[in-house]
Amino acid sequence: MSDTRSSYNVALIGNPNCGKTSLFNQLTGARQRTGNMAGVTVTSREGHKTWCGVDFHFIDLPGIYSLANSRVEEMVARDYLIETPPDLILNVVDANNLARNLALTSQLLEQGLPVVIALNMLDELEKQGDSVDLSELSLGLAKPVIGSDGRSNSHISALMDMLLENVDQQAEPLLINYEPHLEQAITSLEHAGLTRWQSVRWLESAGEGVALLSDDQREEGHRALAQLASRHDESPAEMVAEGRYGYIHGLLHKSSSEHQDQSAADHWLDSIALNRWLGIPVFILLLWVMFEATFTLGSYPADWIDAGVSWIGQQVGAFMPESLLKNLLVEGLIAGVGGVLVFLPNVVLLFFFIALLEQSGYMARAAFLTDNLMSKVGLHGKAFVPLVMGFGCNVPAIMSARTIEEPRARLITILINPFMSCSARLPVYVLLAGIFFTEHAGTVLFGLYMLGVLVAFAIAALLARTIPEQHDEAFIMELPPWRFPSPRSMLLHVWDKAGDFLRKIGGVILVGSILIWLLQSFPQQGTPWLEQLGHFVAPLFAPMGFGWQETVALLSGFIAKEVIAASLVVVYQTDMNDMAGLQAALGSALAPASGLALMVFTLLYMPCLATIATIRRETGSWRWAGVSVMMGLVLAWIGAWLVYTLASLWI
Amino acid sequence: MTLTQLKARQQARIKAIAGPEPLRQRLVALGVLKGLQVSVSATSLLGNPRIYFIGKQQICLRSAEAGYIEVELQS
Repeated sequence: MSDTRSSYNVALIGNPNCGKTSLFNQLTGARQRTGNMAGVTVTSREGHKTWCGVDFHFIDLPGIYSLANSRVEEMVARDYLIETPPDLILNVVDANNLARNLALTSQLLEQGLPVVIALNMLDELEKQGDSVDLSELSLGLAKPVIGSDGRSNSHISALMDMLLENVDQQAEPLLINYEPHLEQAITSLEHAGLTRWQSVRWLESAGEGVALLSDDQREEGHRALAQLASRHDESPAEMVAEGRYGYIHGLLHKSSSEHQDQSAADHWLDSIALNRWLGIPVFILLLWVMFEATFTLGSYPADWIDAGVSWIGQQVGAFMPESLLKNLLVEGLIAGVGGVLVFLPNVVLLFFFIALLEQSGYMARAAFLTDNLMSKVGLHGKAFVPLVMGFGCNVPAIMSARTIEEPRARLITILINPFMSCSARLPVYVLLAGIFFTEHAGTVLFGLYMLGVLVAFAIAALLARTIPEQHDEAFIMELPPWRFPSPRSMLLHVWDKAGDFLRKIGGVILVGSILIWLLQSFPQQGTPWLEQLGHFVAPLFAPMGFGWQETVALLSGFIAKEVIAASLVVVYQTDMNDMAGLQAALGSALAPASGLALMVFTLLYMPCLATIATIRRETGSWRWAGVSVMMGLVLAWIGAWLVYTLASLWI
Repeated sequence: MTLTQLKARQQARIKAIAGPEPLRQRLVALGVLKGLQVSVSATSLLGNPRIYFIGKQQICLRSAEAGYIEVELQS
């Protein structure tokens, strides 16, 4: 009957960091974020691919180690399998850690689910001189196994063929023989009406992993657990695992030759990156180099874009008759949009470096280096991923804090995230640092990001002392092997980020520039509205030496932080329409100390609208969103004032 | 002795895993099992957390958790 079906659901399941999301991206053409670290995927995602006239609907589930644990990611995956059973499961297995990855596979097979297996990262295994016999493994598991590689598309058609052949797979539950007392417990649960896999799951999760039907079953379940506990020191989870690994080792004995230790290159890299004394200095140095390069390397292409924009402005200026529309185009649209567009290279470079750190496996090492400090300010080790993601954009970063289960640690991670300087603020820094601190712009960038981190940690420490902790959450992190980032996926990543930036320029920044121009050009007689507004609010910002122009720019940044740069360009635009003109105008209007204060204010003041909405949604209350806004405004004002006052003494 | 007492360059084997149930389940799911060989891979500046080679994997553990893992030295 299923011959007539033309659409199937396929769920991707695998351990964290097994390359599942890369494979998902290849299959569906999606561009989901990947990284060489566990926990990059939190919620499930979906995509499509049509193959031989059949529509495949793919679901990328979060990476999990086991179906029997009760962490957020595991529950997402487990509930998905029970509530909306997919037609087929694509189990992605990391060839470099076969035994542990197959432990999850064995849970799927015990549950009698239809499964095909993609053995990922085979190239790495082979580089180490090890091998896996795919047909032997397939025979042992009684499931189709195929080699795959998240970095090249060459396996995709074979993989799709395999999926197509298996959409109607009839699956028999796998039977693993466990230790006699465990078998006894399983049998007693089966008598109470559970299936075998439910019995095993109940025992290995100590009564969490299955929703039992009746009170009788529940009672029998607890009785079985109590009896096991009285007979064995080991937890049932360990006993089940021994059974699983026994089965797996039997399987691998025939199909795999593995004797690898850490490779010499990995060992050498770790001996520096994880060195007790060198680790942290190297981390800080890497970050400094990253910001220095973001500024310096970015300035060359930025000059070309700038030249292009001012050429267009001049052409439009020369060919259009004098009119309001011309002014709107040249002084509003081209100046404002162009003023942000020139920072595209810097933004792209920053994303490139962050992706480099993530995909190489360095980020997980950095999480280890900073764990002690983080735990001192009430942050969980898992907060590292959301915090680093914040350098890109705070919105997905705040959502990824869902992996943190302890409510206080999660709340703190959410509330301090806006202080992690997102890429939208970079144009403002690059513009101002380029004007006032031309020689040390990279260092100023680095300093600003570090200031953000420092403020974030200080606020975290403060919150940790005022909000009570609900329970302890263990921090256990697997370190990924070092990987050479794949040029293809790096390119795609950077390409996407450039696309995001351009879309934002075409949307909110374009509208913002026009609005600012309109407010500045009307009424045509007398003081423009924008200036009136600026003068009205300016006294609040006067202690930092800001004029009405900066005031207006900061106000416009409530929508999105890039708009600050666009506003400055539009407001200062007199008769010059290239960056040099703006730089000259800003440079003469503002003292360097004020320039620095403006950067600090931009760094710290309230999150953008999208971030506020996300905080509201993730914390479930406007209260915390309000706290975040107020906290930002107060800190920004104090911080900028302090910086201005101190810098005035020195500069 | 427990894993926290293991010194650099010492080799040991996991004898038993204690601790609260969720932690034991978590370790088991990560493939941290009785009988596996362990050694210290790296120590952070203040000595906590540390990274251990457990079997073929490198796993970062805080002392709070590592203290639940009982090991015996191998000569």
